[in-house]
Amino acid sequence: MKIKNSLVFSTILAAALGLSAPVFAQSNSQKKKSPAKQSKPGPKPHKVWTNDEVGSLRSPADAYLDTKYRRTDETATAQQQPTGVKPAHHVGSPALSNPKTLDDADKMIAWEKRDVDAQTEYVEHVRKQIEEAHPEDRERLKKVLQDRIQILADTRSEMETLEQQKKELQKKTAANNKEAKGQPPSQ
Amino acid sequence: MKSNPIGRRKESESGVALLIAIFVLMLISVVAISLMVASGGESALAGNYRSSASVYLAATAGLEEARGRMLSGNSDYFNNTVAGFIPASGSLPVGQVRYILNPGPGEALGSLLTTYPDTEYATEFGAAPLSAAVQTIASVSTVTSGGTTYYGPLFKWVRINAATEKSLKTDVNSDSILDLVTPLYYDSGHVPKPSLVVTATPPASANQALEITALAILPNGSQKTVQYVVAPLTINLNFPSALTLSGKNIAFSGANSNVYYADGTDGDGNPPAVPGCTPNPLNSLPAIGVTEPLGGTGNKDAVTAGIPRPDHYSGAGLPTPSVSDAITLNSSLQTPASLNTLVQTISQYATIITPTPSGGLLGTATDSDLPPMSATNPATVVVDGNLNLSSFVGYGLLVVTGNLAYDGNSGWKGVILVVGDGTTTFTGAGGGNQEFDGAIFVASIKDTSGNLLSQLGNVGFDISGGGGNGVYYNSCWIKRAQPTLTYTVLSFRELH
Repeated sequence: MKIKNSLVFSTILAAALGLSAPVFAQSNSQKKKSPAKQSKPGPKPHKVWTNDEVGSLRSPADAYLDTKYRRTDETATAQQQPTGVKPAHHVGSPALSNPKTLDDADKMIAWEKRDVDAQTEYVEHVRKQIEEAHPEDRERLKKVLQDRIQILADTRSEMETLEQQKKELQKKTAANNKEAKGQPPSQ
Repeated sequence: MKSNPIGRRKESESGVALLIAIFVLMLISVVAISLMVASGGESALAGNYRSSASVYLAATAGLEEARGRMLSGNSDYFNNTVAGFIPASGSLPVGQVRYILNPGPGEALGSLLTTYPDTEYATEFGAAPLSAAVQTIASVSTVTSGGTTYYGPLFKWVRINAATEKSLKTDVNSDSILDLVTPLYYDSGHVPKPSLVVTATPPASANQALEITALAILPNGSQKTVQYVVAPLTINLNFPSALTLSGKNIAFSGANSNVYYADGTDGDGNPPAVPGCTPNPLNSLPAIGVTEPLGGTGNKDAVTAGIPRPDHYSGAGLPTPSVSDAITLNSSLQTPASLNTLVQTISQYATIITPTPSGGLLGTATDSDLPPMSATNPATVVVDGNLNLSSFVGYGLLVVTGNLAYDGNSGWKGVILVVGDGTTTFTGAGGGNQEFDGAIFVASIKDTSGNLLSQLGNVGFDISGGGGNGVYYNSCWIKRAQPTLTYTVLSFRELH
């Protein structure tokens, strides 16, 4: 009887152990794995922002623009102007030559003088640039200098022409004055 | 004596109940143990998932710190901390490597790359970077306040370097060679569609592609290496001429001064150099470009008639004066609506917006309202009103919604958009020796009340008072002037 009982008991124990073994085996196998090598969580789909989406984000500049355009809308409603497009007007631009009066000549000469002074200063600046420039940039700067020296010479020449024209105007004016004085007063 | 069979049976079955009870108890124990073990497994799985997600997020935080700090408008811009850490213009040469270091508690900044070496670089380029080519900078994710240090995401380092075919293991130009030395550029103007290109001389529409790689390691040993390939995204403006006037009727008065020139040949004049960019003199555009929304040649004729010194306006091989009405405008420059959108976009990234609106009238800004700027530090300036410049040289992108007035000693290197009233005036009468290098675009998009027009209005450009050296087209300065809106992510990879 005792033998029978112990046989039954042994069978139950073996069954119990048999059932629990896979569970422990699974547990051990999990412990062996390092956390980093576990199944990866699928990364969230990466969102690439487009220019439009970036543009849709609000910033302090938006608040500024809102304020500004609200103000503009109110002004527009108050004034009720149709299009308000300014009429284009074309003003011809005379070059610096052939002055009509002595006053014009003086203004043009003063203008040329300002240009000449500024260009003289600029030419000196380019000369210094050349001294300090990298060898590869030196050739380009030399060409700039050459061009600007030519422009300066042309401008000086223009100024001299203007001074000549001014002298002619002075002569003309003096002659006109003389002529006017020589005429007898009208009765 | 006769034996009792029932009693014998009872005797033989005695203890069975105990055995059954033990068996049931054991079964329950086994089930309980199984449940506990299974629960432990689930917990371990959840823990692993959590640490995997954490390390992934820590690594991407590193990527984003690098991506953000490359923008000059960011207060933590790299070059604000270490001058020249990344090229403000031009390219980061192949071989140059930049690291952001982010030591955790008890770790030293100086030994971080020794503790957590970057083995990935050698995998990509075949060898570790030369120490002379490596620069490091501290992460801004760890903050100390009130004597307490608050640690940010647990990435260890982030590397920034030029991308090549070899490093990306991608044959971009299909020549069956993985080029190790030529940097890659992202060309938004590439035909038939934007693409990476392999070139040492990138076109104006291309920007360098950079690799950003980050390593994150958690205290439990989980680690992750991730990588972006990014390229700067700009407004991508380009212009058809040195000076572009777009409107219904154009009033133009050319410069009287002999020293004033308008030149559409790329790089003419005397501009400061843009590092990493060389103008192409073969790229010659008209000195002045006009649109003809009313048809005919009215605007071209008006501009030509307004030029007192025709030989001073050259470019595109056209007879002087070089004025063309056969121009094509960038889509963002075509209509009042698109120009208005452009101005708003630029405003979002502006270094400064001035002056403050008051009383419903356009204010007037002067030199003193503008931020400090230089050839190495260009600015994006939006003047919502008029701007008067006097002996001022600016660098970058300038938007003026009112009238732009300037003298001969004022200049600008970059892009000027006069979009609003669409008028510019040269103040003074001769003198000055500054110049405009880049491009100027003028259009009228609003009426006098500030309402957006349905079609472009009239334009006035009066330089009859100048003075100064003129306007010179310069593709390098046009590109340099445009702010980087963001570094767009071209690709994302999990490496390990």
